[in-house]
Amino acid sequence: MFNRILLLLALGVAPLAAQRASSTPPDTTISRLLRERDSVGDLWRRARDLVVLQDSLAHVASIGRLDTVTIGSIRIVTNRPDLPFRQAAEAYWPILDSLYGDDARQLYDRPVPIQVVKPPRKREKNAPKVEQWGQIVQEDVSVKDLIGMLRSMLRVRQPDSALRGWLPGEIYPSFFGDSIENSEAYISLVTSGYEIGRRCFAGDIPSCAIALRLDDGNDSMVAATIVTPAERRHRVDMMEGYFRRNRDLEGLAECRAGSDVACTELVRSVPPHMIPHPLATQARMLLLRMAIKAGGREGYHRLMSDSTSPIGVRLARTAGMPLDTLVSRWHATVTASRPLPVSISLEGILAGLGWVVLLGYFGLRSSRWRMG
Amino acid sequence: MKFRVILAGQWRWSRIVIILGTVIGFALPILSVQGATNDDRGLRPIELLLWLQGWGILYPLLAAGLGLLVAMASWAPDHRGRHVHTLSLPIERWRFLLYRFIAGVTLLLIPIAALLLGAILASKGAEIPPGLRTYPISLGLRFGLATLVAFAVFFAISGGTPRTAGVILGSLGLVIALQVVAGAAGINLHLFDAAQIGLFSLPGPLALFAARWMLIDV
Repeated sequence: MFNRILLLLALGVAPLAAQRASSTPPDTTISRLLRERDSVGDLWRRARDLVVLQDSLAHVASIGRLDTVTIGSIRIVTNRPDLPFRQAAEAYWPILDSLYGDDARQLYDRPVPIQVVKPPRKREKNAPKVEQWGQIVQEDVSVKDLIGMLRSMLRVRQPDSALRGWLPGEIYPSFFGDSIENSEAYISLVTSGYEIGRRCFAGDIPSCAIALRLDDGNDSMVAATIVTPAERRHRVDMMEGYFRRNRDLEGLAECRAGSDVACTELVRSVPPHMIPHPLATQARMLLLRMAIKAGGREGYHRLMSDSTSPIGVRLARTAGMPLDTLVSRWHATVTASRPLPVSISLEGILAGLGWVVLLGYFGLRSSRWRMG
Repeated sequence: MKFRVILAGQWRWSRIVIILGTVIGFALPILSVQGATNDDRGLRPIELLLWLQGWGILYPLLAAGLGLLVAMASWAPDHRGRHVHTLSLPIERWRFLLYRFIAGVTLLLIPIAALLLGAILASKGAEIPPGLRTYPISLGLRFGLATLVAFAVFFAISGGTPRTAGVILGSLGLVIALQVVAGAAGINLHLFDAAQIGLFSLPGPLALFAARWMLIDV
């Protein structure tokens, strides 16, 4: 096959080469040889390209037929479209669309290749090794696992550094369900080790804004999350090494001696990123998702298109409402998401008593006791 | 009169288990909050919850252990004597077993009450951060029911014949064999998952053990 292509090319190129040669004036042997060298080189490059093409075609043939499953802007390229990719995409697309809105259309240009292979126990012993071209899954994959995979693979544009500084990682839809993740935000608020977190839980909305670090660009607000002298002293103790390296020995000594003014100055001198957030990631992620959803289909786009304003201003613009209103709604959602208490339910009590009676009855009916 | 005699015999066979269980049950809640909830030196709320979560593993273990040992102690003398004495007693067989069962339940109320008392005392003495609550009654109730369920399970098993035990073990072996064969044949069969859900979710018999055993929680 390769030889035939090469021959056809040579036959096609030769008359052209001859024509070019005949149109030029007579020249020396060296020039003629140089021209022939060039034409052979050109021929060689064309043949090489054809060989590469032939090889890739042969390789594609070994992959097998590929199909594309498209739901919304989710496109999945796979060799086994009979598996539950459609169900997984149909389940996940509304979740994606509700968070990313119109920005989710970006996903259409980035199809997801998923390569299905047989489980190890089903593979033939001497089967040739298949080259990987996509994310590998086994053919007994469940819809739930596929949704998890899509969640990890499908991303729209990445958050900017300012947003990542406030909320590390990427912005992703809720996976375990709003109730579970809201409960985690509740626990984060209740178990915050900071006085500002406790004030927020009690209903003081400005304290919530401070606890969430929705600063107006003022770094001193970060230090404002540490509100009691005991907490400032604790923070200074935790960062003793940092202050010693910065030669704040006098201030350190004064703080240790009981001067809250000295402790406050030391805390304010710490870069904001070195002071832990009073509330965990789940609480901030909930606020972010609420802001995006309140902003409608353009919410995510508005959030991403402004990377310079303070976080509080960005969230308020994203949600299309004043920041206080957004934080109030967040507080109401979190406090309403208390997880199920550990107290035993009536159903549990009745089930327990029922099993005691039933099993006791089986014990009484033991065949050991029935003779004759 | 007959019940008192049976109760006395049961106490004789299982008093060490009951006394040990009572002491441990009373001490567990108190030890779990010792020094953990002091406002100045105590743990932060999230650390407190994690600390208590670790202690929470001991409650179901104690419940299962008490139920098992008291049930075994109920039947041990009969197994040793081949049931000759009990079968010769002038009492219906089912009534005798019923008295024995109730005697075991009665004795188990002692460590259950001790744990409940310990949980109440621990709750009274602990300084709870805002947003967290104590659940001494719920913990005591859960422990009590779990202990009685464990006792009933092992009482029924211990009272069975070797054939009954064989049937139970054979059924378990059949489930395991089916799962292995299905896995080898590539059939999507999850018998263990179904069994796990049936046993550990309400209204399954072991649902009480699968819950969170927390004296203090949100």
